[in-house]
Amino acid sequence: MRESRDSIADIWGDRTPTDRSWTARVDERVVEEPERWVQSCCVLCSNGCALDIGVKGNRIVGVRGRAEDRVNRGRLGPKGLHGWEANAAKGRLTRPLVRNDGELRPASWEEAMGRVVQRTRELLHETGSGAIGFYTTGQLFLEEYYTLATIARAGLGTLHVDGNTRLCTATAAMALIESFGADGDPGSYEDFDVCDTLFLVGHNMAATQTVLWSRVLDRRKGPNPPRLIVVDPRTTGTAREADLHLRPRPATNLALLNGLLHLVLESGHVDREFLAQHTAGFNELQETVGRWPPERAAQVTGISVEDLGKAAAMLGSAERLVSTCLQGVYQSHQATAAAVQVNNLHLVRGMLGKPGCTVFQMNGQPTAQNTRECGADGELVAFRNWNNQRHVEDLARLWNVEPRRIAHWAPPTHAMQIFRLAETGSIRMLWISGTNPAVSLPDLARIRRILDKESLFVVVQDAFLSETAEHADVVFPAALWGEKTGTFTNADRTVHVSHKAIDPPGEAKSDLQIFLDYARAMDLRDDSGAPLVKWTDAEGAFAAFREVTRGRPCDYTGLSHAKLTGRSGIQWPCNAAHPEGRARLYEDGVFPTGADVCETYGHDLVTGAAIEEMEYRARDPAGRARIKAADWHPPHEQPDRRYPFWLTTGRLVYHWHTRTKTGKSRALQEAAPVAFVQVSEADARRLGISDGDGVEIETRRGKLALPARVGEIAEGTLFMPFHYGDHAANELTLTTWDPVSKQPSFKYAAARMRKIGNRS
Amino acid sequence: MILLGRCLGLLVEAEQELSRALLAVSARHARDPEIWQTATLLSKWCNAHLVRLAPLVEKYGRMRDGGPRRVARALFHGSRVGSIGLLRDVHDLSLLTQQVHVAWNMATQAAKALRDQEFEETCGEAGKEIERIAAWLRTLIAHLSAQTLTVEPDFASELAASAPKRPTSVPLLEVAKAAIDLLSK
Repeated sequence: MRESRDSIADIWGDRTPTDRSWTARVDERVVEEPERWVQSCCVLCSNGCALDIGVKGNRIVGVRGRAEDRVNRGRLGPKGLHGWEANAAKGRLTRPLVRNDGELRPASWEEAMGRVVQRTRELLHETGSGAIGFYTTGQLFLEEYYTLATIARAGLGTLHVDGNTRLCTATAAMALIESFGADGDPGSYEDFDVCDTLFLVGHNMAATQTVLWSRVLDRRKGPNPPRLIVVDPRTTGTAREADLHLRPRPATNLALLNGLLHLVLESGHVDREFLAQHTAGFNELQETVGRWPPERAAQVTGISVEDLGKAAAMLGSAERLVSTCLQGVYQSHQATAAAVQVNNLHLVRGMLGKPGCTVFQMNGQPTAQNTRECGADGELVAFRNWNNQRHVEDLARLWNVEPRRIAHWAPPTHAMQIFRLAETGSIRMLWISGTNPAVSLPDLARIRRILDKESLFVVVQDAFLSETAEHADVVFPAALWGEKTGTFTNADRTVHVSHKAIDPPGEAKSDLQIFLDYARAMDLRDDSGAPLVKWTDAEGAFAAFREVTRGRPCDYTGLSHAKLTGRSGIQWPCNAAHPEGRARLYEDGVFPTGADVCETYGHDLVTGAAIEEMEYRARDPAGRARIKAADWHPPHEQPDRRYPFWLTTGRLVYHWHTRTKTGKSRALQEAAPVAFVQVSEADARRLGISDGDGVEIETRRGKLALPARVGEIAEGTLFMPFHYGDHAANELTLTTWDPVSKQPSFKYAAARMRKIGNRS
Repeated sequence: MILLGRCLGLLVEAEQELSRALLAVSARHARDPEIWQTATLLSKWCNAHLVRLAPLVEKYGRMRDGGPRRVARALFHGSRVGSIGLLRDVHDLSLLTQQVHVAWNMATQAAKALRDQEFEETCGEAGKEIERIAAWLRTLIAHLSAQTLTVEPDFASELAASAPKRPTSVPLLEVAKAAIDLLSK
């Protein structure tokens, strides 16, 4: 056993004070001496920290960070240093399972795949591809998503393909598309090394991206520390470090941001030249935020006029501003409108495409960027516009199919609607890969009812018998990270390769192989009669995807598995013009907003109504960024006499999603063994609750009994981590979503609470 | 006496009908978040238009029209349960929205001729919001039609999935009728 530090107790490690360039520090943890090291990258948050997997025999025995990598310079967080233990954990699925007489029993691959193929064929024959849906994840590899997208969109021709990225990064994608014309974060992590002001909105970076937070802490301890503003209703570790902590009431982000923009415009800290040359729609912003003087914003958000003034002064005087958004924005009320307002701050201040000047619409999951790029979610492959006939024709040509074979009469169906269609019986086969909706979706009682429906044939592809797999008709055992080769891309567009280190257990297969087997068994063909899916391995899938990205914003044409091996990750676009990748997008102030290139024509930020092609062309921004704005309106559920608290949910530093992996690491599980509800001191006093007492928390959807944790949260607000399937926060959450990104709102619901027992 | 009061009467009644219909549809499809959350919000937009119309009614008078009520009564018939019911509701809402839209266009012309700037601004802003409601309905039509019209429905699931959340929000009789209606087909 060798570890460079105890990352459970010391989450971020020692400081390496930084100014301008981040020094390397290699974090390592091995339980036995490895015989060899295999290049990979961490999949336990969206940061994308490069690491090597230590292997002995056919076992993973540890990991160490890769010092030369641009993302982490050798550092790893607690999840990365421990999470690999899940690969060898008890309970790995090693054989396919099929349901017989109500019971799941082991079966051969032939039988299990045969059932899925048979059901697909029946449905295609009886009702058409509209009865088939796919719900994937932000955890697979690029090659797997692209294969799935090809099968579903061109092979079966269904609209119903989405990922659980809908829960984590749909708003990030949509906000980037609405403002800049296409998905893809414009900045580079190096911007953190040179910024003078950091604005973290609903982003608890200390817990959710621990290595990036180390980078920030190193700047804060260096010679020219950036100022830090944090927006969060809880006093998190991130908030404690802040120079200014703003604690808005849940569901009021947009009111806060409108108020801040009001003050920034009023103070005249505006880059008029940038606005005139590179943006369209400034008047709409001016009019909207004009209605949000600080007094009004203060009244809605509960933040004092004085603090609003301080924040606006810091944002207005920044010379190199980096802003980030995460789930506090994306999973809350008016998510896209709020995220777009942060983009607007940067457009107004002309702070994009320059060192230290950018906005990060962060990703929640390690490979969410690829779900989006590959068209395995609500976007068409390589950021094409489903509503632009030429984009569809272009894709059809590359796939060698008639354009009409690709379902594109409406936007791809979003996850929440896929479940709604399963609920109404319209979707009759749902193939779930690498995700656990029976814990992660809102209003779980409803989700379980849907998964148990007689008329719904459920296929689950996972490494463990998850809560969702228990409802399946067929379960495919899947290989985990480390047991297969593929690539994935982080929030600053850095592409990493992850090589296969060990064999999967038993008969488990990679997700790629499962999709390839299905494509072959279904005998999916292109229009010339050749196989539609023309590749047989990960490198082949990557090469095929590379071709469909040519000339698109996410251009991968300069990348290959070989090029990514033995060195640091590389940022896209990587092509002839940028053979070593491109650090920053939009350096020239030209955005992919032209009607012929943009990824969508955009939406009404309040109603979600799609803007139609004719309308867009009439006012084609033609390369200017699109400034859009919306007024705040109250959320759909608010505390009242019966349910007086706001309930918000989120993550803990030691766990990932539904703990499918992190719960299998003893150290991580012991560090955060049980769910709890966090309550303010004032509320606890009033209800006679002390730290550790048993409480019952209840919303209109359900109730749970949990221990209380007192303090570090705004009065009137309760917080619950969502990781725990046995005490799932989502028993309580509301089924509602952002009208534009369709991302569900986990960050607000009305709740009540009472004490049910003393600390035991 | 000028006849602007006729137009204002038409407008007030048309906005009232649209607001009411949006709320009714929102309650009927309360288990579909896409519908209830936005329809409820848009109904409030109509109510806000009525507030803005009040001073104009005071200034120019208002004559009862009766047309919008008759139009609304002619719509929203038959079963409105399940996906097809929702699609039909969205269709009828589109017609009601069109009625409001045309009335605002008429009022805009009058406001210009009267050089009444405040009136003209109200027409411009409210008219724009009505157009946004229409765009939302068009988007729903684009999203819902193909699935609803080309995939064979599962009637039992449709019924269960559209049972009202609160028994008061939809008369139970209507659901019972719809059930018989669906099952008899």
